[in-house]
Amino acid sequence: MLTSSVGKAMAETLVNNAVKQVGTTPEMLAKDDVKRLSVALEGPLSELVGRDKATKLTSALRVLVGGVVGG
Amino acid sequence: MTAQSTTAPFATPKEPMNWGTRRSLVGVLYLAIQFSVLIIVHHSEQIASILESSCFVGLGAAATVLAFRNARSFAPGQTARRAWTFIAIMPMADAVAYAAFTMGDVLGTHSRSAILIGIATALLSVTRIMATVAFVGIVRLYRKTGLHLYLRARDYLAMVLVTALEVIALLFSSSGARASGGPELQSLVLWLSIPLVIALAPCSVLGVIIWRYTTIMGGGLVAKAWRANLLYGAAWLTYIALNAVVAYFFVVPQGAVPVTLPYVLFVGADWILKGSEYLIFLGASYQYEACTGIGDLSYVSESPSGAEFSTEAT
Repeated sequence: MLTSSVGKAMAETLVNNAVKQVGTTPEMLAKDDVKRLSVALEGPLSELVGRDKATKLTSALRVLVGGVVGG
Repeated sequence: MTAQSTTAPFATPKEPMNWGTRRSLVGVLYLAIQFSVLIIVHHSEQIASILESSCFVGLGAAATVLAFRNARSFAPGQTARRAWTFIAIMPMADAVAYAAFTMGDVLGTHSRSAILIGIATALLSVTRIMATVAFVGIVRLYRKTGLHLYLRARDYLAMVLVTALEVIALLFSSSGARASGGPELQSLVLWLSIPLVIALAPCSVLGVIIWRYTTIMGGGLVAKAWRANLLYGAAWLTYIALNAVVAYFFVVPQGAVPVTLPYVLFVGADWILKGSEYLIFLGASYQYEACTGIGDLSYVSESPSGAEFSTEAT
């Protein structure tokens, strides 16, 4: 869904930036980091697809690893 | 709140709006009306003008509404909000200008309202300057994401071609103004439209940079939206240049005339302008889809983790 909205390379760039901001690497990413990752991702993503869509996308990310939508 | 009630909105999402079909239908309908106008004009010039203007204004209004809704999707102060607000005004300005320039024909007289044409031309110029501001913001936004920009030889070639079009449009601007405003309003249109042509130059250079960014992005609705907006700008510039050059060599045909070379060239230039309105509609609709479409989230309920989730903030 993220790729269909902002493109593959942009999605990878945004996720990589968010991972760096969280202070980890994609390989070392733990389940506990996901909430911080989605928060870090939401800001830049909202610049491209708007607030609501960014919230939905980052919430879905948390759900996929057992988080809470909107939480 | 039960698990059933909380999961329902995501587990069974409502049927997503099929924007692809809508865009195609609007395009086919728009094209069909344009062809009809070419036939109707031989029977009633007035009806043809009304149909043509209504169609153009209607599509412009749809593009404006979608672009404003796009702007509202972004938070106050965000670059994209400002950019889409500026873009929303452009099709509206186009519609006002189109109605102003064809009003004399619709009324069955060849008199043109100097004030209305002056306001419409000034509005076009102002919106193109606003577009430049919007494009600067978008380039800065993409740069901020960290996406690596590398311009290729063909990008520089595109910039050269666009600049050449600018020069042609400026060289023949006097005849273009005469074709648009008539001999009596030539000077007014000329002076008010020069900022428009000049503003399209930075727009075009920035446009090539944004186009490269959308290519690097690797697809997506946002990239499609901006590409359509950029094609709209290019189509506008092509229209101005072609209209000015053709008007320099030929007299503008009025109403139902036999199909001759000048007629084909002027109709061709007019269709480029009409096509540009469809392009801005496409751009606004792609961005609207990017901002509102949530896609299929049903797979979330089948997550291996078996997580429960709520649609309300906790």
